[in-house]
Amino acid sequence: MLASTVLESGTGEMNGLSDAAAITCRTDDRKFFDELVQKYHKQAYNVAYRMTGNHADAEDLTQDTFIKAYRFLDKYNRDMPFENWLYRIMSNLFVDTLRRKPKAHVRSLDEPVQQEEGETLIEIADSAAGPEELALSSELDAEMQQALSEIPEDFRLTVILSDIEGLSYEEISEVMGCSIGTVRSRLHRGRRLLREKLKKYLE
Amino acid sequence: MNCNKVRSLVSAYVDGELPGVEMLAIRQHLSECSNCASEYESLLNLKRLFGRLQPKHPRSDLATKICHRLDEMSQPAHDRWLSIFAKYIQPFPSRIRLAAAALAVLSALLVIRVGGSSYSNILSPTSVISTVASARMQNQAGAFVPQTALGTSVIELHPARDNPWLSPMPASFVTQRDTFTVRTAGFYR
Repeated sequence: MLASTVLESGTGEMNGLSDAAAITCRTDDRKFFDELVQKYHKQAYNVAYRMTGNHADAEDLTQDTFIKAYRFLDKYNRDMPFENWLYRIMSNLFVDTLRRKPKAHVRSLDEPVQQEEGETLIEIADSAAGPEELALSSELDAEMQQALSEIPEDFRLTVILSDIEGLSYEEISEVMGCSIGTVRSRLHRGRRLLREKLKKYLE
Repeated sequence: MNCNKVRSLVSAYVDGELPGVEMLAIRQHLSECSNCASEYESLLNLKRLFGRLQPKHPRSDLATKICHRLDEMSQPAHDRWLSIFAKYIQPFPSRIRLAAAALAVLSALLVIRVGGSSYSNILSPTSVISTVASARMQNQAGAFVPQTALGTSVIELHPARDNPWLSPMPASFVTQRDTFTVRTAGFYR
């Protein structure tokens, strides 16, 4: 509610300017940047969540993205939509964070675990009383999120930007700093991996 | 177009991101090849599935948090320290707050004095005259010299910076207005 109010009353679009054009005119205007935060933080958070797979990391990543965007606002190129520039910053931050963190092994739930008495599968206690009580949408959401988390981050971000955010190949190539051919290839390979993990929902 | 070629392009076909000629060729192939058509269907369903994901919503105070961090970032460092200090002493009665502020100032002064005196121990000047520091000087070699009082003929060593002062040799120094001669023989390590 607040965000939409600010959106309607505050940003440059009211004055006939796109956000991109307004930003280049008002790089030192804190109040204006606050309005951009209000307008774009939900969208940015959604991508951050799909990248990281949890709320705490998504919140940190979103915050860091806006802080960095504010610091480097004078480097913003108005030819790119503001949200796409945010995604670019976010993707760089995400990769940097992964490099700094000790490598965590993401284990698929279907992956057998070696034990003394042979292989076994990981069992996770189900807090719900029965499968019927778990809403399909949240179960599916969790499965899809898990599948996303298990594919390489370049593929993951490409799929998120294409299929969740609806960006074109050209826009994705700008965000990720790669060629359109690379975008095509990452989507092709990423989707095949995802399809394998989610095949029971695709039949 | 053969099956291998179609399968390498079908993901981009799903997105409508191929040139018109290739789009038409693939469409033609899909109408004739059930295997490739099923490959296409599965990728299309996958894309639709991700398109149907509900957006994840942040906590309601995320934007406020971001703006707050931006405020902190825009604040000069000394203001940040002051506001942190003010926040900590806020719950206390005014007398205690005043005492805490006085203590903080005294501590700061003490740190400065202790820093100075430790350096004085090294230099141990026998003839320190002026305590006024108002002008920057350079020695003849161009090295930076501590701030001194213009117009005074004997200069105090500022307990901060410069090795050239440790020289046992007499040295003269020039400012824009005056020339000073400083006896350094009285100083020793």
